[in-house]
Amino acid sequence: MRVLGIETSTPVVSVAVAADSQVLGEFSLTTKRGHMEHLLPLIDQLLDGLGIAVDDLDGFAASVGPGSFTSLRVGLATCKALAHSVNKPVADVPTLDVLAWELQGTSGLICPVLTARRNEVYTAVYVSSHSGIKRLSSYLALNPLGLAQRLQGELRTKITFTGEGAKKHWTSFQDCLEDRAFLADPARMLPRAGQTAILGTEILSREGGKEPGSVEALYIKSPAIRRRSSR
Amino acid sequence: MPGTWMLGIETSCDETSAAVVRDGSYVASNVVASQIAIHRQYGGVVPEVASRQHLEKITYVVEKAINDAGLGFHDLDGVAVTVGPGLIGALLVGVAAAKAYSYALKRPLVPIHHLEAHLYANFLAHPELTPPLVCLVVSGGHTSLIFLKNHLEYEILGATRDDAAGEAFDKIARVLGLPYPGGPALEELARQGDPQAVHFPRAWLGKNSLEFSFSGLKTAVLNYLKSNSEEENKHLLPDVAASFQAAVVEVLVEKTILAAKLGGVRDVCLAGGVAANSTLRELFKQKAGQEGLKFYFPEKKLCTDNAAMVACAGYYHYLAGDFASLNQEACANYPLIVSKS
Repeated sequence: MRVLGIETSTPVVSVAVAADSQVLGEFSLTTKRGHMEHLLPLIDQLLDGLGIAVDDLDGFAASVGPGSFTSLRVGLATCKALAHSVNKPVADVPTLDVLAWELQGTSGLICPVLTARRNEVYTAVYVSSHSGIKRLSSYLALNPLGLAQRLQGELRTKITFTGEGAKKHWTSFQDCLEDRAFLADPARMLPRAGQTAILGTEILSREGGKEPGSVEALYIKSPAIRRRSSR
Repeated sequence: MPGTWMLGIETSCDETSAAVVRDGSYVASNVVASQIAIHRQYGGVVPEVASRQHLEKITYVVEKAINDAGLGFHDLDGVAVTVGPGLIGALLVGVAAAKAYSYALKRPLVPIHHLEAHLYANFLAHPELTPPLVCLVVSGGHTSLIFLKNHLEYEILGATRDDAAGEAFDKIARVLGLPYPGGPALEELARQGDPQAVHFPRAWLGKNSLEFSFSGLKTAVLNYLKSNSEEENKHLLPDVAASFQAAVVEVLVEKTILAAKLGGVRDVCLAGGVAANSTLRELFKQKAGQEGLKFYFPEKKLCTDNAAMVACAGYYHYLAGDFASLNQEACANYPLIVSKS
Protein backbone atom coordinates (compact mmCIF):
# COMPACT_ATOMS: atom_id res chain seq x y z
CA MET A 1 0.00 0.00 0.00
CA ARG A 2 1.42 3.37 -1.07
CA VAL A 3 0.41 6.37 1.02
CA LEU A 4 1.21 10.07 0.66
CA GLY A 5 1.58 11.82 4.01
CA ILE A 6 1.08 15.58 4.39
CA GLU A 7 2.03 17.56 7.48
CA THR A 8 1.48 21.34 7.70
CA SER A 9 0.27 22.01 11.24
CA THR A 10 3.42 23.86 12.32
CA PRO A 11 6.01 25.97 10.45
CA VAL A 12 7.28 22.68 8.99
CA VAL A 13 5.90 21.71 5.59
CA SER A 14 6.55 18.01 5.26
CA VAL A 15 5.56 15.44 2.64
CA ALA A 16 6.41 11.75 2.44
CA VAL A 17 5.48 8.55 0.69
CA ALA A 18 5.35 5.30 2.63
CA ALA A 19 4.99 1.88 1.06
CA ASP A 20 3.58 -0.56 3.60
CA SER A 21 5.60 0.35 6.66
CA GLN A 22 8.61 1.89 5.04
CA VAL A 23 9.23 5.55 4.23
CA LEU A 24 10.32 5.71 0.58
CA GLY A 25 10.96 9.43 0.56
CA GLU A 26 10.38 12.55 2.57
CA PHE A 27 10.86 16.30 2.11
CA SER A 28 10.62 18.75 4.99
CA LEU A 29 11.04 22.49 5.01
CA THR A 30 10.64 25.03 7.78
CA THR A 31 8.87 28.12 6.51
CA LYS A 32 6.95 30.84 8.26
CA ARG A 33 4.20 31.59 5.77
CA GLY A 34 5.28 29.60 2.76
CA HIS A 35 3.06 26.55 3.18
CA MET A 36 0.92 27.38 0.15
CA GLU A 37 3.92 28.22 -1.99
CA HIS A 38 5.94 25.10 -1.16
CA LEU A 39 3.52 22.26 -0.45
CA LEU A 40 2.49 21.24 -3.95
CA PRO A 41 5.96 21.73 -5.51
CA LEU A 42 7.38 19.47 -2.76
CA ILE A 43 4.74 16.81 -3.45
CA ASP A 44 5.50 17.07 -7.16
CA GLN A 45 9.26 16.67 -6.64
CA LEU A 46 8.76 13.76 -4.26
CA LEU A 47 6.41 11.81 -6.53
CA ASP A 48 8.58 12.62 -9.53
CA GLY A 49 11.69 11.40 -7.73
CA LEU A 50 9.97 8.18 -6.76
CA GLY A 51 8.43 7.71 -10.21
CA ILE A 52 4.95 7.54 -8.72
CA ALA A 53 1.87 9.25 -10.17
CA VAL A 54 -0.94 10.57 -7.99
CA ASP A 55 -3.18 7.83 -9.41
CA ASP A 56 -0.71 5.18 -8.22
CA LEU A 57 -1.30 6.08 -4.58
CA ASP A 58 -3.62 3.85 -2.55
CA GLY A 59 -4.45 6.47 0.02
CA PHE A 60 -3.49 9.66 1.79
CA ALA A 61 -2.53 10.51 5.35
CA ALA A 62 -3.08 14.02 6.67
CA SER A 63 -1.87 15.47 9.93
CA VAL A 64 -5.09 17.13 11.09
CA GLY A 65 -3.70 19.20 13.95
CA PRO A 66 -3.91 20.74 16.39
CA GLY A 67 -1.68 23.51 15.13
CA SER A 68 -1.69 26.77 13.20
CA PHE A 69 -5.22 27.02 11.76
CA THR A 70 -4.13 28.63 8.52
CA SER A 71 -1.25 26.36 7.58
CA LEU A 72 -3.26 23.33 8.69
CA ARG A 73 -6.02 24.22 6.26
CA VAL A 74 -3.55 24.58 3.37
CA GLY A 75 -2.45 20.98 3.96
CA LEU A 76 -5.92 19.61 4.52
CA ALA A 77 -7.53 21.37 1.54
CA THR A 78 -4.68 20.07 -0.63
CA CYS A 79 -4.97 16.53 0.74
CA LYS A 80 -8.76 16.41 0.45
CA ALA A 81 -8.72 17.64 -3.15
CA LEU A 82 -5.90 15.27 -4.20
CA ALA A 83 -7.72 12.30 -2.66
CA HIS A 84 -11.02 13.41 -4.16
CA SER A 85 -9.47 13.73 -7.63
CA VAL A 86 -8.25 10.12 -7.62
CA ASN A 87 -11.07 8.76 -5.46
CA LYS A 88 -8.90 7.40 -2.65
CA PRO A 89 -9.43 7.43 1.13
CA VAL A 90 -7.74 9.69 3.68
CA ALA A 91 -6.46 8.72 7.11
CA ASP A 92 -6.59 11.57 9.60
CA VAL A 93 -3.67 11.55 12.01
CA PRO A 94 -3.45 13.92 15.00
CA THR A 95 -0.21 15.92 14.88
CA LEU A 96 0.50 15.30 18.57
CA ASP A 97 0.44 11.54 17.85
CA VAL A 98 2.96 12.07 15.05
CA LEU A 99 5.33 13.85 17.45
CA ALA A 100 4.90 11.22 20.17
CA TRP A 101 5.59 8.33 17.77
CA GLU A 102 8.87 9.99 16.81
CA LEU A 103 9.98 9.22 20.39
CA GLN A 104 8.94 5.58 20.43
CA GLY A 105 11.12 3.66 22.87
CA THR A 106 11.58 6.59 25.24
CA SER A 107 10.97 5.65 28.86
CA GLY A 108 8.64 7.61 31.13
CA LEU A 109 6.03 10.00 29.79
CA ILE A 110 6.14 11.70 26.39
CA CYS A 111 4.62 15.14 26.11
CA PRO A 112 4.46 16.84 22.68
CA VAL A 113 3.85 20.59 22.95
CA LEU A 114 2.74 22.88 20.13
CA THR A 115 2.27 26.63 20.32
CA ALA A 116 -1.35 27.82 20.35
CA ARG A 117 -2.61 31.39 20.39
CA ARG A 118 -3.25 33.44 23.51
CA ASN A 119 -0.29 32.00 25.43
CA GLU A 120 -1.57 28.45 25.36
CA VAL A 121 -0.15 25.19 24.09
CA TYR A 122 -1.69 22.13 22.49
CA THR A 123 -0.62 18.94 24.18
CA ALA A 124 -1.42 15.38 25.20
CA VAL A 125 0.41 12.87 27.37
CA TYR A 126 1.73 9.57 25.97
CA VAL A 127 3.64 6.54 27.13
CA SER A 128 5.77 4.18 25.04
CA SER A 129 5.36 0.43 25.37
CA HIS A 130 6.23 -2.73 23.43
CA SER A 131 2.98 -2.45 21.51
CA GLY A 132 3.68 1.15 20.51
CA ILE A 133 2.72 4.58 21.74
CA LYS A 134 -0.35 4.93 23.94
CA ARG A 135 -2.13 8.19 24.62
CA LEU A 136 -3.05 8.71 28.29
CA SER A 137 -4.86 12.07 28.13
CA SER A 138 -7.29 13.82 25.81
CA TYR A 139 -5.99 16.45 23.36
CA LEU A 140 -5.69 19.64 25.39
CA ALA A 141 -5.22 23.38 25.01
CA LEU A 142 -3.93 25.01 28.18
CA ASN A 143 -1.26 27.40 29.37
CA PRO A 144 2.28 25.98 29.70
CA LEU A 145 2.46 26.50 33.45
CA GLY A 146 -0.86 24.69 33.93
CA LEU A 147 0.57 21.77 31.95
CA ALA A 148 3.73 21.64 34.08
CA GLN A 149 1.70 21.72 37.28
CA ARG A 150 -0.53 18.92 36.05
CA LEU A 151 2.53 16.80 35.26
CA GLN A 152 3.97 17.40 38.74
CA GLY A 153 1.34 15.02 40.12
CA GLU A 154 2.24 12.20 37.70
CA LEU A 155 3.75 9.08 39.22
CA ARG A 156 6.19 8.33 36.45
CA THR A 157 9.33 10.27 37.13
CA LYS A 158 10.71 11.08 33.70
CA ILE A 159 8.85 13.37 31.26
CA THR A 160 10.22 14.05 27.77
CA PHE A 161 8.95 17.18 26.02
CA THR A 162 8.95 17.45 22.25
CA GLY A 163 7.59 19.75 19.52
CA GLU A 164 8.34 23.43 18.82
CA GLY A 165 6.43 24.49 21.96
CA ALA A 166 8.66 22.34 24.16
CA LYS A 167 11.73 24.39 23.33
CA LYS A 168 9.83 27.67 23.67
CA HIS A 169 8.46 26.87 27.14
CA TRP A 170 11.38 24.77 28.32
CA THR A 171 12.25 27.04 31.28
CA SER A 172 8.67 26.81 32.61
CA PHE A 173 8.79 23.02 32.44
CA GLN A 174 12.24 22.87 33.99
CA ASP A 175 11.38 25.30 36.79
CA CYS A 176 8.35 23.28 37.75
CA LEU A 177 9.55 19.71 37.16
CA GLU A 178 13.28 20.19 37.74
CA ASP A 179 15.36 17.11 36.89
CA ARG A 180 12.29 15.09 35.90
CA ALA A 181 11.96 17.15 32.71
CA PHE A 182 13.84 16.14 29.56
CA LEU A 183 13.95 17.79 26.17
CA ALA A 184 13.74 15.50 23.12
CA ASP A 185 16.63 15.11 20.74
CA PRO A 186 16.30 18.07 18.32
CA ALA A 187 16.48 15.72 15.32
CA ARG A 188 13.34 13.91 16.51
CA MET A 189 11.41 17.03 17.47
CA LEU A 190 9.88 17.97 14.14
CA PRO A 191 6.52 16.65 12.97
CA ARG A 192 7.55 14.67 9.89
CA ALA A 193 5.21 13.44 7.22
CA GLY A 194 7.03 10.08 7.10
CA GLN A 195 5.56 9.34 10.51
CA THR A 196 2.17 10.65 9.37
CA ALA A 197 2.29 8.31 6.38
CA ILE A 198 3.27 5.29 8.53
CA LEU A 199 0.52 5.97 11.07
CA GLY A 200 -1.89 6.67 8.23
CA THR A 201 -1.05 3.36 6.54
CA GLU A 202 -1.91 1.60 9.78
CA ILE A 203 -5.31 3.37 9.96
CA LEU A 204 -6.04 2.74 6.27
CA SER A 205 -5.31 -0.98 6.51
CA ARG A 206 -7.21 -1.32 9.80
CA GLU A 207 -10.29 0.88 9.20
CA GLY A 208 -10.13 1.87 5.54
CA GLY A 209 -9.78 5.61 6.26
CA LYS A 210 -12.26 8.35 5.48
CA GLU A 211 -13.95 9.62 2.38
CA PRO A 212 -12.03 12.89 1.58
CA GLY A 213 -15.00 15.21 2.13
CA SER A 214 -15.50 14.13 5.72
CA VAL A 215 -11.93 14.83 6.85
CA GLU A 216 -11.88 17.69 9.33
CA ALA A 217 -9.21 19.59 11.21
CA LEU A 218 -8.65 18.90 14.88
CA TYR A 219 -8.83 22.52 16.05
CA ILE A 220 -9.40 21.92 19.80
CA LYS A 221 -9.97 25.67 20.22
CA SER A 222 -13.11 27.52 19.09
CA PRO A 223 -12.68 30.46 16.73
CA ALA A 224 -11.98 33.79 18.43
CA ILE A 225 -15.01 35.96 17.82
CA ARG A 226 -15.25 39.65 18.52
CA ARG A 227 -18.82 40.82 18.83
CA ARG A 228 -19.55 43.69 16.52
CA SER A 229 -20.40 47.11 17.83
CA SER A 230 -23.39 48.84 16.27
CA ARG A 231 -21.23 50.85 13.84
CA MET B 1 -17.24 16.25 -24.61
CA PRO B 2 -16.96 18.99 -27.27
CA GLY B 3 -16.24 22.50 -26.05
CA THR B 4 -14.01 23.83 -23.28
CA TRP B 5 -15.15 22.87 -19.81
CA MET B 6 -13.88 24.89 -16.88
CA LEU B 7 -14.26 24.03 -13.22
CA GLY B 8 -14.55 27.25 -11.19
CA ILE B 9 -13.85 27.51 -7.46
CA GLU B 10 -14.71 30.52 -5.30
CA THR B 11 -14.03 30.90 -1.54
CA SER B 12 -13.05 34.56 -1.19
CA CYS B 13 -15.58 35.44 1.52
CA ASP B 14 -18.51 33.51 2.98
CA GLU B 15 -19.78 31.38 0.10
CA THR B 16 -18.15 28.07 -0.78
CA SER B 17 -18.85 27.61 -4.46
CA ALA B 18 -17.91 25.37 -7.37
CA ALA B 19 -19.28 25.45 -10.90
CA VAL B 20 -18.78 23.96 -14.34
CA VAL B 21 -19.09 26.25 -17.35
CA ARG B 22 -18.68 25.37 -21.04
CA ASP B 23 -17.02 27.86 -23.39
CA GLY B 24 -17.48 30.72 -20.95
CA SER B 25 -21.18 30.87 -21.69
CA TYR B 26 -23.15 27.76 -20.72
CA VAL B 27 -23.54 27.20 -16.95
CA ALA B 28 -23.70 23.41 -16.58
CA SER B 29 -23.74 23.68 -12.77
CA ASN B 30 -23.28 26.37 -10.13
CA VAL B 31 -23.24 25.08 -6.56
CA VAL B 32 -23.14 27.58 -3.69
CA ALA B 33 -22.92 26.52 -0.04
CA SER B 34 -23.95 29.70 1.73
CA GLN B 35 -22.77 30.49 5.24
CA ILE B 36 -25.24 33.34 5.76
CA ALA B 37 -27.19 31.54 8.50
CA ILE B 38 -23.97 30.83 10.41
CA HIS B 39 -22.58 34.38 10.23
CA ARG B 40 -25.96 35.98 10.98
CA GLN B 41 -25.63 35.03 14.66
CA TYR B 42 -22.43 37.11 14.85
CA GLY B 43 -23.84 40.08 12.92
CA GLY B 44 -21.28 39.73 10.13
CA VAL B 45 -18.70 37.47 8.53
CA VAL B 46 -16.25 35.99 11.07
CA PRO B 47 -13.12 35.12 9.03
CA GLU B 48 -12.06 32.08 11.08
CA VAL B 49 -15.58 30.65 11.00
CA ALA B 50 -15.72 31.23 7.23
CA SER B 51 -12.37 29.47 6.70
CA ARG B 52 -13.48 26.43 8.71
CA GLN B 53 -16.70 26.20 6.74
CA HIS B 54 -14.84 26.37 3.42
CA LEU B 55 -12.60 23.46 4.43
CA GLU B 56 -15.62 21.38 5.47
CA LYS B 57 -17.58 22.07 2.27
CA ILE B 58 -14.97 22.34 -0.47
CA THR B 59 -14.92 18.79 -1.83
CA TYR B 60 -18.70 18.45 -1.51
CA VAL B 61 -19.41 21.51 -3.66
CA VAL B 62 -16.88 20.33 -6.27
CA GLU B 63 -18.44 16.83 -6.24
CA LYS B 64 -21.92 18.26 -6.72
CA ALA B 65 -20.79 20.67 -9.44
CA ILE B 66 -19.26 17.81 -11.44
CA ASN B 67 -22.30 15.55 -10.89
CA ASP B 68 -24.84 18.28 -11.68
CA ALA B 69 -22.98 18.95 -14.92
CA GLY B 70 -23.17 15.23 -15.75
CA LEU B 71 -19.41 15.03 -16.15
CA GLY B 72 -16.46 13.15 -14.75
CA PHE B 73 -13.27 14.85 -13.56
CA HIS B 74 -11.48 13.94 -16.78
CA ASP B 75 -13.97 15.81 -18.95
CA LEU B 76 -12.65 19.08 -17.48
CA ASP B 77 -10.18 21.20 -19.45
CA GLY B 78 -9.02 23.52 -16.68
CA VAL B 79 -9.50 24.72 -13.13
CA ALA B 80 -10.14 28.42 -12.44
CA VAL B 81 -9.98 29.81 -8.92
CA THR B 82 -10.36 33.17 -7.22
CA VAL B 83 -6.92 33.96 -5.82
CA GLY B 84 -7.88 37.40 -4.46
CA PRO B 85 -8.76 39.90 -3.25
CA GLY B 86 -10.69 38.61 -0.25
CA LEU B 87 -10.28 37.14 3.22
CA ILE B 88 -6.88 35.46 3.14
CA GLY B 89 -7.84 32.47 5.30
CA ALA B 90 -10.91 31.88 3.16
CA LEU B 91 -9.07 32.26 -0.16
CA LEU B 92 -6.36 29.81 0.94
CA VAL B 93 -8.81 26.91 1.11
CA GLY B 94 -10.10 27.41 -2.42
CA VAL B 95 -6.66 28.05 -3.90
CA ALA B 96 -5.06 25.04 -2.17
CA ALA B 97 -7.90 22.79 -3.34
CA ALA B 98 -7.89 24.17 -6.89
CA LYS B 99 -4.14 23.65 -7.15
CA ALA B 100 -4.52 20.06 -5.98
CA TYR B 101 -7.35 19.32 -8.45
CA SER B 102 -5.39 20.91 -11.27
CA TYR B 103 -2.26 18.92 -10.35
CA ALA B 104 -3.94 15.56 -9.86
CA LEU B 105 -6.07 15.89 -12.99
CA LYS B 106 -3.18 17.33 -15.04
CA ARG B 107 -5.24 20.32 -16.15
CA PRO B 108 -4.05 23.95 -16.17
CA LEU B 109 -4.73 26.16 -13.17
CA VAL B 110 -6.14 29.57 -14.05
CA PRO B 111 -5.91 32.30 -11.37
CA ILE B 112 -8.79 34.77 -11.33
CA HIS B 113 -9.31 38.20 -9.75
CA HIS B 114 -12.55 38.49 -7.79
CA LEU B 115 -13.61 41.71 -9.56
CA GLU B 116 -13.06 40.35 -13.05
CA ALA B 117 -15.14 37.32 -12.09
CA HIS B 118 -18.01 39.61 -11.11
CA LEU B 119 -17.62 41.55 -14.35
CA TYR B 120 -17.61 38.35 -16.41
CA ALA B 121 -20.93 37.27 -14.88
CA ASN B 122 -22.37 39.60 -17.51
CA PHE B 123 -20.94 37.46 -20.32
CA LEU B 124 -22.65 34.41 -18.81
CA ALA B 125 -25.95 36.25 -18.70
CA HIS B 126 -25.54 37.85 -22.14
CA PRO B 127 -23.36 35.75 -24.48
CA GLU B 128 -23.96 38.32 -27.24
CA LEU B 129 -22.20 41.04 -25.21
CA THR B 130 -18.78 42.18 -26.47
CA PRO B 131 -16.20 44.71 -25.29
CA PRO B 132 -15.70 47.64 -25.16
CA LEU B 133 -17.96 48.31 -22.20
CA VAL B 134 -18.10 50.01 -18.85
CA CYS B 135 -18.96 47.94 -15.77
CA LEU B 136 -19.80 49.07 -12.27
CA VAL B 137 -18.73 46.36 -9.81
CA VAL B 138 -20.47 47.07 -6.56
CA SER B 139 -20.38 44.77 -3.54
CA GLY B 140 -19.56 44.60 0.15
CA GLY B 141 -15.87 44.98 -0.59
CA HIS B 142 -15.76 46.98 -3.81
CA THR B 143 -17.20 49.93 -5.68
CA SER B 144 -15.24 50.21 -8.91
CA LEU B 145 -15.90 51.50 -12.39
CA ILE B 146 -14.04 49.34 -14.85
CA PHE B 147 -13.51 49.97 -18.54
CA LEU B 148 -13.15 46.71 -20.44
CA LYS B 149 -11.38 47.66 -23.66
CA ASN B 150 -11.00 44.12 -24.99
CA HIS B 151 -11.40 40.81 -23.21
CA LEU B 152 -9.10 40.76 -20.13
CA GLU B 153 -7.93 44.35 -20.76
CA TYR B 154 -9.03 46.44 -17.81
CA GLU B 155 -8.77 50.07 -16.89
CA ILE B 156 -10.02 51.22 -13.50
CA LEU B 157 -11.84 54.49 -14.12
CA GLY B 158 -12.75 55.15 -10.52
CA ALA B 159 -13.22 53.45 -7.17
CA THR B 160 -14.35 54.31 -3.70
CA ARG B 161 -12.14 56.46 -1.49
CA ASP B 162 -13.54 54.96 1.70
CA ASP B 163 -16.41 52.50 2.22
CA ALA B 164 -17.68 50.21 -0.52
CA ALA B 165 -21.37 50.78 -1.31
CA GLY B 166 -22.30 47.36 0.06
CA GLU B 167 -20.33 48.08 3.21
CA ALA B 168 -22.34 51.30 3.67
CA PHE B 169 -25.55 49.29 3.22
CA ASP B 170 -24.41 46.75 5.83
CA LYS B 171 -23.34 49.42 8.33
CA ILE B 172 -26.54 51.44 8.04
CA ALA B 173 -28.61 48.24 8.17
CA ARG B 174 -26.93 47.38 11.47
CA VAL B 175 -27.68 50.85 12.85
CA LEU B 176 -31.30 50.41 11.81
CA GLY B 177 -31.35 47.13 13.74
CA LEU B 178 -31.68 44.91 10.67
CA PRO B 179 -30.29 41.36 10.53
CA TYR B 180 -27.19 40.31 8.57
CA PRO B 181 -26.81 40.45 5.60
CA GLY B 182 -27.87 44.07 5.77
CA GLY B 183 -28.22 44.90 2.07
CA PRO B 184 -31.28 42.80 1.22
CA ALA B 185 -32.90 43.57 4.60
CA LEU B 186 -32.43 47.32 4.05
CA GLU B 187 -33.87 47.08 0.55
CA GLU B 188 -36.91 45.30 1.97
CA LEU B 189 -37.45 47.97 4.64
CA ALA B 190 -36.96 50.75 2.07
CA ARG B 191 -39.92 49.44 0.06
CA GLN B 192 -42.23 50.75 2.78
CA GLY B 193 -40.54 54.16 2.94
CA ASP B 194 -40.44 57.40 0.94
CA PRO B 195 -37.08 57.89 -0.83
CA GLN B 196 -37.63 61.66 -0.81
CA ALA B 197 -38.48 61.93 2.90
CA VAL B 198 -34.97 62.93 3.94
CA HIS B 199 -32.42 64.48 1.61
CA PHE B 200 -29.12 62.87 2.45
CA PRO B 201 -25.96 64.26 0.79
CA ARG B 202 -24.59 62.81 -2.46
CA ALA B 203 -20.80 62.82 -2.76
CA TRP B 204 -20.12 63.92 -6.35
CA LEU B 205 -16.48 64.78 -5.59
CA GLY B 206 -16.30 67.39 -8.37
CA LYS B 207 -17.47 67.58 -11.96
CA ASN B 208 -16.55 64.53 -14.06
CA SER B 209 -15.13 62.67 -11.05
CA LEU B 210 -15.58 58.91 -11.32
CA GLU B 211 -14.60 58.25 -7.72
CA PHE B 212 -17.00 57.42 -4.93
CA SER B 213 -17.30 58.20 -1.23
CA PHE B 214 -19.93 56.88 1.16
CA SER B 215 -18.52 57.73 4.58
CA GLY B 216 -20.07 61.22 4.62
CA LEU B 217 -23.46 59.75 3.79
CA LYS B 218 -23.08 57.22 6.57
CA THR B 219 -22.32 60.00 9.07
CA ALA B 220 -25.29 62.04 7.81
CA VAL B 221 -27.64 59.11 8.43
CA LEU B 222 -26.21 58.55 11.92
CA ASN B 223 -26.54 62.26 12.76
CA TYR B 224 -30.08 62.35 11.46
CA LEU B 225 -31.06 59.39 13.65
CA LYS B 226 -29.39 61.02 16.66
CA SER B 227 -31.32 64.26 16.12
CA ASN B 228 -34.62 62.43 16.68
CA SER B 229 -36.00 60.70 19.74
CA GLU B 230 -36.04 56.91 19.73
CA GLU B 231 -39.82 57.01 19.57
CA GLU B 232 -39.74 59.21 16.44
CA ASN B 233 -37.09 57.02 14.81
CA LYS B 234 -39.26 53.91 15.15
CA HIS B 235 -41.71 55.40 12.65
CA LEU B 236 -39.03 56.94 10.46
CA LEU B 237 -36.88 53.87 9.80
CA PRO B 238 -38.48 52.90 6.46
CA ASP B 239 -38.11 56.51 5.24
CA VAL B 240 -34.50 56.64 6.39
CA ALA B 241 -33.76 53.31 4.64
CA ALA B 242 -35.43 54.48 1.41
CA SER B 243 -33.74 57.90 1.47
CA PHE B 244 -30.32 56.40 2.20
CA GLN B 245 -30.73 53.85 -0.58
CA ALA B 246 -31.83 56.59 -3.00
CA ALA B 247 -28.69 58.61 -2.20
CA VAL B 248 -26.38 55.62 -2.85
CA VAL B 249 -28.16 54.46 -5.98
CA GLU B 250 -28.33 57.91 -7.58
CA VAL B 251 -24.57 58.42 -7.30
CA LEU B 252 -23.81 54.91 -8.58
CA VAL B 253 -26.02 55.32 -11.64
CA GLU B 254 -24.99 58.89 -12.53
CA LYS B 255 -21.28 58.14 -12.34
CA THR B 256 -21.55 54.94 -14.37
CA ILE B 257 -23.43 56.75 -17.11
CA LEU B 258 -20.89 59.57 -16.99
CA ALA B 259 -18.11 56.98 -17.35
CA ALA B 260 -19.79 55.50 -20.43
CA LYS B 261 -20.20 58.95 -21.99
CA LEU B 262 -16.61 59.99 -21.27
CA GLY B 263 -15.33 56.72 -22.68
CA GLY B 264 -17.60 56.83 -25.73
CA VAL B 265 -19.01 53.40 -24.84
CA ARG B 266 -22.55 52.27 -25.61
CA ASP B 267 -22.78 49.25 -23.32
CA VAL B 268 -22.93 49.55 -19.54
CA CYS B 269 -23.00 46.60 -17.11
CA LEU B 270 -23.65 46.09 -13.47
CA ALA B 271 -22.02 43.40 -11.33
CA GLY B 272 -21.38 42.36 -7.72
CA GLY B 273 -23.64 41.61 -4.77
CA VAL B 274 -25.23 45.07 -4.67
CA ALA B 275 -26.20 44.61 -8.34
CA ALA B 276 -28.96 42.37 -6.97
CA ASN B 277 -30.63 45.52 -5.57
CA SER B 278 -33.86 46.11 -7.52
CA THR B 279 -33.95 49.88 -6.99
CA LEU B 280 -30.44 50.13 -8.46
CA ARG B 281 -31.42 48.01 -11.46
CA GLU B 282 -34.57 50.00 -12.10
CA LEU B 283 -32.90 53.40 -11.99
CA PHE B 284 -30.08 52.07 -14.19
CA LYS B 285 -32.51 50.76 -16.78
CA GLN B 286 -34.38 54.06 -16.83
CA LYS B 287 -31.35 56.37 -17.00
CA ALA B 288 -29.46 54.23 -19.50
CA GLY B 289 -32.56 54.22 -21.70
CA GLN B 290 -32.78 58.02 -21.57
CA GLU B 291 -29.13 58.30 -22.59
CA GLY B 292 -29.44 55.80 -25.43
CA LEU B 293 -27.13 53.28 -23.72
CA LYS B 294 -27.63 49.54 -23.56
CA PHE B 295 -27.79 48.29 -20.01
CA TYR B 296 -26.88 44.74 -18.92
CA PHE B 297 -26.97 42.96 -15.60
CA PRO B 298 -26.75 39.33 -14.52
CA GLU B 299 -29.55 37.50 -12.75
CA LYS B 300 -29.38 37.74 -8.97
CA LYS B 301 -27.70 34.40 -8.32
CA LEU B 302 -24.88 35.41 -10.67
CA CYS B 303 -24.47 38.77 -8.87
CA THR B 304 -23.65 37.39 -5.44
CA ASP B 305 -20.43 35.40 -5.04
CA ASN B 306 -20.51 32.24 -7.14
CA ALA B 307 -18.08 30.04 -9.02
CA ALA B 308 -19.80 30.16 -12.44
CA MET B 309 -18.51 33.69 -12.94
CA VAL B 310 -15.01 32.48 -11.96
CA ALA B 311 -15.21 29.67 -14.52
CA CYS B 312 -16.42 32.16 -17.15
CA ALA B 313 -13.50 34.54 -16.59
CA GLY B 314 -11.32 31.41 -16.41
CA TYR B 315 -12.37 30.43 -19.93
CA TYR B 316 -11.05 33.69 -21.43
CA HIS B 317 -7.78 33.38 -19.48
CA TYR B 318 -7.57 29.74 -20.55
CA LEU B 319 -7.79 30.81 -24.21
CA ALA B 320 -5.07 33.39 -23.53
CA GLY B 321 -2.86 30.71 -21.90
CA ASP B 322 -2.68 32.50 -18.55
CA PHE B 323 -1.74 29.51 -16.43
CA ALA B 324 -0.38 29.49 -12.89
CA SER B 325 2.45 27.34 -11.59
CA LEU B 326 2.39 24.93 -8.65
CA ASN B 327 3.57 27.62 -6.25
CA GLN B 328 0.57 29.92 -6.89
CA GLU B 329 -0.47 31.70 -3.70
CA ALA B 330 -3.67 33.29 -2.48
CA CYS B 331 -3.40 37.07 -2.23
CA ALA B 332 -5.67 39.24 -0.07
CA ASN B 333 -4.72 42.33 -2.14
CA TYR B 334 -4.37 40.74 -5.57
CA PRO B 335 -4.15 43.50 -8.22
CA LEU B 336 -6.58 43.49 -11.15
CA ILE B 337 -4.10 44.94 -13.55
CA VAL B 338 -0.80 43.09 -13.63
CA SER B 339 1.82 44.75 -15.79
CA LYS B 340 3.02 42.20 -18.30
CA SER B 341 6.72 42.22 -18.99
